[in-house]
Amino acid sequence: MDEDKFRNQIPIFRFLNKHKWRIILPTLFFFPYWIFPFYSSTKSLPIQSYLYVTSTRNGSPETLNQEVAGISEELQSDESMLSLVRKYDLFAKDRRQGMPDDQLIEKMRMAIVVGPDSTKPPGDIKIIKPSGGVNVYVLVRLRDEEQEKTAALTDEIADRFQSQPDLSVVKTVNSPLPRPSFPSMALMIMIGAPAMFSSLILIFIWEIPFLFYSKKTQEMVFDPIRSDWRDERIEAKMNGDIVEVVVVHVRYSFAFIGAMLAKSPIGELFEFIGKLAV
Amino acid sequence: MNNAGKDEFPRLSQKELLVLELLLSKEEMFGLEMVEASEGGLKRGTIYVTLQRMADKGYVESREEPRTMPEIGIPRRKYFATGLGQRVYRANVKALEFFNTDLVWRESN
Repeated sequence: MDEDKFRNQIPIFRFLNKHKWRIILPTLFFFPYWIFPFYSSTKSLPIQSYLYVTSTRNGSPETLNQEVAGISEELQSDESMLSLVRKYDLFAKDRRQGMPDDQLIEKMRMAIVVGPDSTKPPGDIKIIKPSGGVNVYVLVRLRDEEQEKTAALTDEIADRFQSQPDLSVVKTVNSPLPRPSFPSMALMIMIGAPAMFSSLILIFIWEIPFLFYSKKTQEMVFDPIRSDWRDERIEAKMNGDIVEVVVVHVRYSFAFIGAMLAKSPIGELFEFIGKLAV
Repeated sequence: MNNAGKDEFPRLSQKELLVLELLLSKEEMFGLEMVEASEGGLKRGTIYVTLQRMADKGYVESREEPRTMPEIGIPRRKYFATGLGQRVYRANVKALEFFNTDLVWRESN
């Protein structure tokens, strides 16, 4: 017997041969995500911390503002900026490339923004706004830096304000969501996975008749169901309705199981009992 | 073919009656067409099992309709009622009518 023919007569080989591309292509597609850890880089995403400085006593707003302004000024001084850059090893790449100190200071000033109270803080972070008090915000916004560094830097700035007995700080650290390694990975999983999963279930269910039913039954019962499934699936796809595609898969999974049961000894028994009852 | 004895009345199940009714209303139909036309009376999972049983009894026959380009895939199967199927359907309808009339007559007396 020809080797290929022999292989095709064994159901598992026939199944693998028939659906090889359905198995190989998704495997190749997802292979990199399986072997490499699902590391999502936060690089190039700004990590933002937001400090809300408020008062702990009923001082005049002017006095408090002066205190805050003094610390802010000190914070944004050249020495402070440079020492923070070195302490937290910020802009390492730029420093390796020999970026002068004044440019580093400028970069740091852009990263640490101190401003008056505003209804909507810069950036897209959600803040917990304290009720009452004075209100100055300090936004730490670093791009291309590690989250830990940003958090440590924010803590140090918060400490500087909190070292004053009259001030307290409400801190909100925004951790950026892991960026999907593939642009529409999440969307693809959300939408595509149910359709793919239901389709795969159906493919497996469809192989069962080859094992247990005669060729005639396959031609008369299961092939027409497959044909109908194909027509309804194409129609749903043409409509662009992914939910309808899943519904079609589920409906035909049940239809196929129903047909298998009806053609099984159980189904025959029910048919026989039905005849007796009539 | 029909295995029923000559003296045995060829009784139809509800589904078989519905299938023959649909097929007689339209000369030929696909299984899915029948499911849709039956408005819930026939299911996708059992229509072809019923049709196969009916074909074994000789009530229906089918022919494959190859797909025309650009369609590809498994050819669809069109079903039609045989002469025997038509006679059996009419006999069952008459029997049902008679049975229902008889019931009504008995209840009124």
